[in-house]
Amino acid sequence: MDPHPPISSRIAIARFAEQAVAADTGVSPTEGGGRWLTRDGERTIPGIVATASGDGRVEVGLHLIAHLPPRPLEQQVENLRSEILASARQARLAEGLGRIDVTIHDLREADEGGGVA
Amino acid sequence: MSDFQNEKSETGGDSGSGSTGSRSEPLESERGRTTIADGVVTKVAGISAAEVPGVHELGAGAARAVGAVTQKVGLMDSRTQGVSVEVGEAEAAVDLTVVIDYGESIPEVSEEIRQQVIKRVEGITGLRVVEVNISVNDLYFPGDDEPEDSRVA
Repeated sequence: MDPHPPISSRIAIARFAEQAVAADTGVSPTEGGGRWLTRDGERTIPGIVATASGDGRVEVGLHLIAHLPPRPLEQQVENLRSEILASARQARLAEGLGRIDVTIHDLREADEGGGVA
Repeated sequence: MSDFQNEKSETGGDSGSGSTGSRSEPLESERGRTTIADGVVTKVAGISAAEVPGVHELGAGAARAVGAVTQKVGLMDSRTQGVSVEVGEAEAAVDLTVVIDYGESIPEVSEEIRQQVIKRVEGITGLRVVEVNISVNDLYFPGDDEPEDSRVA
């Protein structure tokens, strides 16, 4: 059995989003009780919803908790979009990347957890 | 003690009152939309109001008493006490209930709260703040927190 089976562009883009969020110390993904996640084989990617849109591209929804102290959120969000786009370009998947919608659900201390009621 | 209700403050993008600029469109770019939950705006407003010198704490009397208990058992966040917000796609309105230190000028502290909340909420969320309504619910006197001496030994 192939330990690294080929993945769809949807999953690849979800992973790029996961990496971008993980690299940003100002945000963390929500743990939304199954509402906002992408299934990636045996595991799930919390806080990230990657869906195929009608035009053949992959739309991404990021569901995030911002960390205190608060920083300008628009700039943070644009940085995340840029990171995801850069990764998609590197993997020659930029053409297939659609909108990246971002929802900031809460503002908390970094160690408060990412659950959303 | 009767409330001191300040006038509503209508802020414009070029009012020079700490606004970061007028925004008529939602938080949307060609790359996607950004949505900011009410709770985020509530916390930013609460934190920024509490930073203003002369503000003792936020919240009305009963809410503060209940809040003190619920905070201890982890059911409430002190950063949201005394703050309510209405958030639209591009604008936000903020209502605050505050307790001010006795001796401070209520109009001056209120105006500073208003400027601080507008500056922080607009700077952090990108939403345009159209109203900051402040209700001064009580005055704090030094010694209010100290327990009274018992009359009996």
